[in-house]
Amino acid sequence: MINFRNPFAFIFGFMAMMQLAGCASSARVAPDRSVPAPIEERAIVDGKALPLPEGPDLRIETMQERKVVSPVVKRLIASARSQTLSQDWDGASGSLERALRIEPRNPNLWSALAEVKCEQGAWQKCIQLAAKSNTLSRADSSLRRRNWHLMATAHKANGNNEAAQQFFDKLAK
Amino acid sequence: MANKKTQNITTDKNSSKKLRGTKDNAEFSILKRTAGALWRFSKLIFGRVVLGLVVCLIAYTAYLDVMIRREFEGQKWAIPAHLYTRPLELYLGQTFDAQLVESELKELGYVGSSSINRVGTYNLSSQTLNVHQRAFRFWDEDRPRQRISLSVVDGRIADIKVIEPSGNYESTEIIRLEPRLFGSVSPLNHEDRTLVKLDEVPQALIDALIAYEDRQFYSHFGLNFKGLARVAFYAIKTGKIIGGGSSITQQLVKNYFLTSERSLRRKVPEMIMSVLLEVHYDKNEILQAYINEVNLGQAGNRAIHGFGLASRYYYGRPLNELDLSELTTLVAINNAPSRYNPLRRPDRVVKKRDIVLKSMLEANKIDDRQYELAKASALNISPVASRAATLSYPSFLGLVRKDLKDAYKSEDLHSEGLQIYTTINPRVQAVLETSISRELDRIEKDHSLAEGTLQAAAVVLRTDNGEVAAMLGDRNASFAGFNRALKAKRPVGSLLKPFVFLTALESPNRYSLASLLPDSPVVVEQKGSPDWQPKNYDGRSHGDVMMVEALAQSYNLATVNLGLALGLDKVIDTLERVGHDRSVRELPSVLLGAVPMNTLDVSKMYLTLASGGFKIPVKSVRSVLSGEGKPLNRYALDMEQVIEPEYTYLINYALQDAVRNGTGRVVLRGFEYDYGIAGKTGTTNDYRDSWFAGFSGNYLTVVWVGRDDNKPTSLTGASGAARLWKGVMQRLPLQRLELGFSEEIVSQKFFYSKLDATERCTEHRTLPVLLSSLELENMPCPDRIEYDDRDLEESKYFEPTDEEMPIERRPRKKSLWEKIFG
Repeated sequence: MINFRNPFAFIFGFMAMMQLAGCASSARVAPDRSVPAPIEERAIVDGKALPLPEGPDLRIETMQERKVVSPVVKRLIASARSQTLSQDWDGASGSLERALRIEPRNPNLWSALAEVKCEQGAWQKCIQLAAKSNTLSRADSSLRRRNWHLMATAHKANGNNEAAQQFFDKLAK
Repeated sequence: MANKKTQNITTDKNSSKKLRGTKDNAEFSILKRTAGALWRFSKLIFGRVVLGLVVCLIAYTAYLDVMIRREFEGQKWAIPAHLYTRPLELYLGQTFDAQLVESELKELGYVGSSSINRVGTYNLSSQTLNVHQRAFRFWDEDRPRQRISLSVVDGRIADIKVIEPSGNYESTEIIRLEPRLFGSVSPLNHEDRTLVKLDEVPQALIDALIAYEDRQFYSHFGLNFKGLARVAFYAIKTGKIIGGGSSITQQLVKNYFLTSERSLRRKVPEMIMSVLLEVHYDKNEILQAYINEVNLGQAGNRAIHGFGLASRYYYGRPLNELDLSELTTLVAINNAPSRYNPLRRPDRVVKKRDIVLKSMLEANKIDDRQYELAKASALNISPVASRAATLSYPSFLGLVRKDLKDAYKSEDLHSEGLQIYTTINPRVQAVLETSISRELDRIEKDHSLAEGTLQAAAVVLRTDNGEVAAMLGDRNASFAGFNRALKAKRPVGSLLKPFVFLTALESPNRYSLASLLPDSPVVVEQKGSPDWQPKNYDGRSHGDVMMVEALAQSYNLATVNLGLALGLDKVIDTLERVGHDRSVRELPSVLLGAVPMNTLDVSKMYLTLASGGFKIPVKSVRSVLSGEGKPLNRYALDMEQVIEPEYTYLINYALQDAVRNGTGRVVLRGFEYDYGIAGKTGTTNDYRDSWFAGFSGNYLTVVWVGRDDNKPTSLTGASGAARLWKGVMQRLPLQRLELGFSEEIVSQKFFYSKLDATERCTEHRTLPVLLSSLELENMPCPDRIEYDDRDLEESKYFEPTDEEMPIERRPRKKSLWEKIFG
């Protein structure tokens, strides 16, 4: 069990953020949709299905094709990281919220924000934001596991051992 | 007293009998004595009166002294809280909308120019944007003035450079334009000001004021006798009292007490107070107060006080960016802002500006060249900036006030100069304002309704963080009266149906979207009131209908039957869980939306659906800074999961279906792309209220249309509010609504029969369904349910690729053996 208030935890948190920002594997998960909706679930006007909106954020990509983090998000994550190091929680949250306004469906950003809340000791917020990240994470199991870990930690710190155990069990599977 | 007098008279009578001969002498001496007494008496009285007058004058002066000092000390720092829009962010990879960026720059008072050497200028071509940005105190950054250069490739921002004055530059990923000051939280007298310190005031403005208003300012003691003599001479000559002649100090006093009455009664205390001011404060303090105090115009119901705000109002720029002509124009407007209104009477203003320039020339404050140059300049009043200055978003401002009321004392909001960074997006607000007013006009015409009888309220929220992007409380956007978005509580009709169905879907072992519901007549007995017999809008009942169909077609009977089966308490619990924060009485009519709510209340509940099951507080403020720029409060993103993602998925799918195939169909026409819109219409009894609530991936918009006198409008949700809704949403940059991903949900083909078809189970449709609902008994055509041979465990982790369309994944039907022995 990791206590975020101790220095080791701090290093762990930092490394997790590094992983989020730097390594391409779990990075930039912009499009969450892998396939277009089947035609019968599409909007039809005058007998014709409306085309799907264009734009790179909506391009169909599989897990392997995911791009690296967009430069702007990378930059804001880097700001958040240095603000976290100086315990400027408001600043770190602010930077991540700014990034979220640009990429609101990026589950890594939600997870990073959850992590800031956990380090800050705002356990309830941490749990909720990690849950939000999970609803967008699709099949990204490494991200899900990271969120479960945050939720387990936060529940435990909040004195809710039963809920914490549920997430530890999920992690153990 | 009376007796004594009588006695005296008697005595006199007696003596008159005895001393008749000395009568004349006696009369004289009486007169003399009386006169002497009178003289002594009047001397005494006069002395006392003079003394009294002096005492009164001293007391009055002391009173004036207290008053003027209180006014000076108090007014000096009374700055209302200032409200800013959201800042426009520009970042790498962003689609560059040149028109949008340019309107934003113009509203901020930036001036197009080939070179950007001056601060507050920009130039824009198809490939580049250069801006000389002003310094700005953001809540998280004190940004100095800087030059930026953006390059655009294939319609996207490809490079951003920040250029130092030396010419060195640094590439960056994101920059922002400063937010626009759009309003203030002022007390009832609606005064507003942007405080400037004397050392920030351009010298030319000070020179112009002194040259034109009061040349002896630095040498007199509060009164300008030369000026007064001029006025007196004119008054004697013509019998009229003209303006002018007042020293700057007197004008300041006059501004404090805000009467334009020209009379001796006002003039005397004004003169005393002016002298008193000079005794207590030095010239610079008085000049600074003057520059921040004088009235320079009226924008709607906001009085423009001080040169700082006037500069923003007329030019959209801070005072230190103005040139000589612009500064002298402000001096020309000073003191008579309605007579010299540059927007209405530019000719008058130009004439008076030239007089101000002339007086500067005479006082040797400018040379001939500067004089000629400034005189030749046009007024340059920015129509965009002054229009922007009147864009005060009264409805949104009402929400900000309400949100801040809990955290701040009203005197802090009125006097501490707080900087409030709000969430309003001027581009979205502009779309909302123009679309609503245009569509309402059209609807009135199409339905032959009297012009101006309809009213509307609307709110646009960001679905990811609950920020209010735009809000409207009246069809006339600048009307600052009754704010319907916050105050008009109307029954919401069918807008509550999704929450009845959501309550059902949360029991997956009882209901799915395919479950059949009886759309049949129902009578509810109520104690103490007549039986309740709801009806469908078309007056018919439709037999057994699938839940998804019942919502799409907004069937009342199916909804009431379902709601009663679930229990009213359960449904009300759902309403409260998703964000309705007032108690709802447990009446069956709640199921059909007999709950009065305002537009914002409705948006809170739908926001929970649009955000994927997370209840997010609706917010209008991002952060608050103190007058000195110290961060005071940040309204952090907050959320609480109140619906499991699977159930949100299902109900949002049903709301998409209501738009694709149901009562919300009307909104799709005109969309260029399929944004996966989810939404619901609402109509109340006798067509009194017309509602539409709907969302894409990024924006949720709720619209109400009705009449203030609550009379029928003849509009349904679809023919009224939905038209306004699409008028707004079709002009916003939308993102597609994604329902998310769940391992628990599969898509399943369901067979069903048409209502009046003789053949059974010939129709089919595919619906998402929870694995745990697959074997429910209340599905249509249960004998036609097909099962897949594919192994369930395998299909759960199926990762579709581009080429493969999703397949219908179904669990293998359990054999009897398995059912018994697990």
